[in-house]
Amino acid sequence: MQNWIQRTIGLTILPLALYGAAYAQASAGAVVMRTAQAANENPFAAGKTAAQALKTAMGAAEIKGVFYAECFEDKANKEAVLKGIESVLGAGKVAGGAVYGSYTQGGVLTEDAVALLGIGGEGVSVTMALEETLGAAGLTIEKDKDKLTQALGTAGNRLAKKLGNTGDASLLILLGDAHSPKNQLLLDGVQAVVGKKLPITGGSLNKNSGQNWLGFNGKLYTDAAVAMLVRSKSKVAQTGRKAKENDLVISTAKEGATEAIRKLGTAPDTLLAFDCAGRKGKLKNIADELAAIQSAVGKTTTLFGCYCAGEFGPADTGDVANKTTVYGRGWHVMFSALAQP
Amino acid sequence: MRLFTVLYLFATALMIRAADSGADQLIHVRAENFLVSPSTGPVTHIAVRNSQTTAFKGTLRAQFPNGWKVTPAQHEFELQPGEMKRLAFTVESGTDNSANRYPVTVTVEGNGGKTEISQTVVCASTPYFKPVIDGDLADWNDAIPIAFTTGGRQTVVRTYWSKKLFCLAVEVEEEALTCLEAAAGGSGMDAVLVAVGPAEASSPDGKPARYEFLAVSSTASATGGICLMRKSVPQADTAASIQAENCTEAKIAVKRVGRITFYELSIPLSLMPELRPDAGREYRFGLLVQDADGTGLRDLGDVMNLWPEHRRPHVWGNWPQINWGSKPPADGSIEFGFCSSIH
Repeated sequence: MQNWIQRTIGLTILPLALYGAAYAQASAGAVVMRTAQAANENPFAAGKTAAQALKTAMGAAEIKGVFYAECFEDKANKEAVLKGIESVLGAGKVAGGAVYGSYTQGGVLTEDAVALLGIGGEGVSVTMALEETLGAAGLTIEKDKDKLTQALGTAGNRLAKKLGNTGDASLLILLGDAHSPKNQLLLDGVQAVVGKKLPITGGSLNKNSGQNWLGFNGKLYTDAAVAMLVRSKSKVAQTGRKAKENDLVISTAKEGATEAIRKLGTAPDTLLAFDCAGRKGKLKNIADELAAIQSAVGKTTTLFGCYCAGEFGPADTGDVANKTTVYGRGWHVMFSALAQP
Repeated sequence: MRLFTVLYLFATALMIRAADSGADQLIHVRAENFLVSPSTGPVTHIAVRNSQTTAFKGTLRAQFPNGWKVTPAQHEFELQPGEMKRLAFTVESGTDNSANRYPVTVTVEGNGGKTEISQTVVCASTPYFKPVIDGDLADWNDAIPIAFTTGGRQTVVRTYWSKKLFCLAVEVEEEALTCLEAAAGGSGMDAVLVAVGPAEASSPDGKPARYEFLAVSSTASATGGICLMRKSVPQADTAASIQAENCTEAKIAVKRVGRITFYELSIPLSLMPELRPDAGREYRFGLLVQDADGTGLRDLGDVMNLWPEHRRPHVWGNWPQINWGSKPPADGSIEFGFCSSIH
């Protein structure tokens, strides 16, 4: 099965890449977002293959930042996949980390795989920042809520301040080693600096014991968080949908994607989906959620999704009055639909 | 043995009908295990079954531990004769406890009757972790223990998963440990018998695969134990011809400290290809402990409020090392879940 997936991905990368190259040339001055993914038991090879495919897909557009989501086991493999990516794209532009799986228009990958989201073009700039120590390791909400609130709030605050002025930003992608419900505390710290009007999406690292590593500037960090600020004039619309059972996971994925596109008011160029690993675990057929999203957005729009241990976006709960405000939650798929300025 | 087990099931059914009154005469109720930690906000189910010959219409309310927020407050439901339904409740806000025992009270009203059932529910979940298999359970603190007592003796079961392994640790309180050689291969030895399988079928016969492993202390092993394995073939489940094999791919350690025997086991997932661990995914599990010169057979299913049909004879393999007794054990298809790490 894994071999079949690898072959399929390999075959799908090429036409997507050619499409991306053509589109990038036609969109000079615009914002270009493209994806690539690869599965391989050799993590360096997976990273390198995905990076090469992304570079091709981005075409003439200068790459300003790359977000990666990998699902390899153990730190050595995680280091290798990052090295593989940077062997093609260079250091300093790549940030991301461990998740439970990822999806693009090429399919869903959940094991020994990496997915890349490239952001580039003349109409965008990307600022990345790292907070090396959250101070949340080993603490639980049940026993250490006050300590966590203090530590994550302070860390989120420091992280956001490293991004500089966010007044001209269209989107902030946040990835932290603070799984739901700790992710809300990290977000509180970030929003204390950037405010609550800036669209924020992203997720929490894979929290499996010993696997919670994020990558930044060629190095791996745990108990850390990374932020990727996208400055552009792109339109952004967000939705979030929660579900805990197979049928609802599928139906809410379609509803959420449809609603994000409706709110955007135009056809999106890119749809980001930070999704919950718990939702993935409830799927009887892992590809069903992606198919539901594709039924809303089609099969040519740039699509990047990954399964996390918590998500940032508009919460889908009855007790939240303002469903456009960003929260840190679990069991959600958080959509961000983007369109050219 | 078969005659005994049939008589046992018949007697159990009679006792249930005789003990019931009001609505519980009409339906059976079981709160299923939590499959991930309550603090992560899972959906859990309460199973109801109409075991009489007329239709049932009623309401089920569930009271979860104090301070929890669970929706909906109640379910209205109808059951045809013999029908079973699983009613879903979402834990919006819950807390974990280290004892892993959660009191749940279920009230059913309908057809002019009312009954209240109290049950202690466990979180039957397997976190991600890679333990060292050495008989020392110090690295099992991130597991979710399930403890049960049989004849005054405690058994504690813990499980882990990783990309390539399913791991198990069992603490058995017993007066003495009788190893394989001392029992001369007969049913006088102490042992742990485990059944593992996916929740859903992946084969054309429509039945989930099932694997059984027998862990036993052995003086012939440098690590203190050996592991035997057999894959059940559902349609030939009772066949003695399905032989157990020495599972050399598994790592096992058996240690005895004071009155406790520690079994620690890791089984390659490659031996169970239908089992695909992933955070949030459900699977089936069962565990029996043979304390040959003490309590006899101990059954993890005893703390799961299982219905009589979960105690089918001969679902387990024909392990000659096990003294099955007259009471059929739980069939080893208890709902369990894989989860991410607990922290």
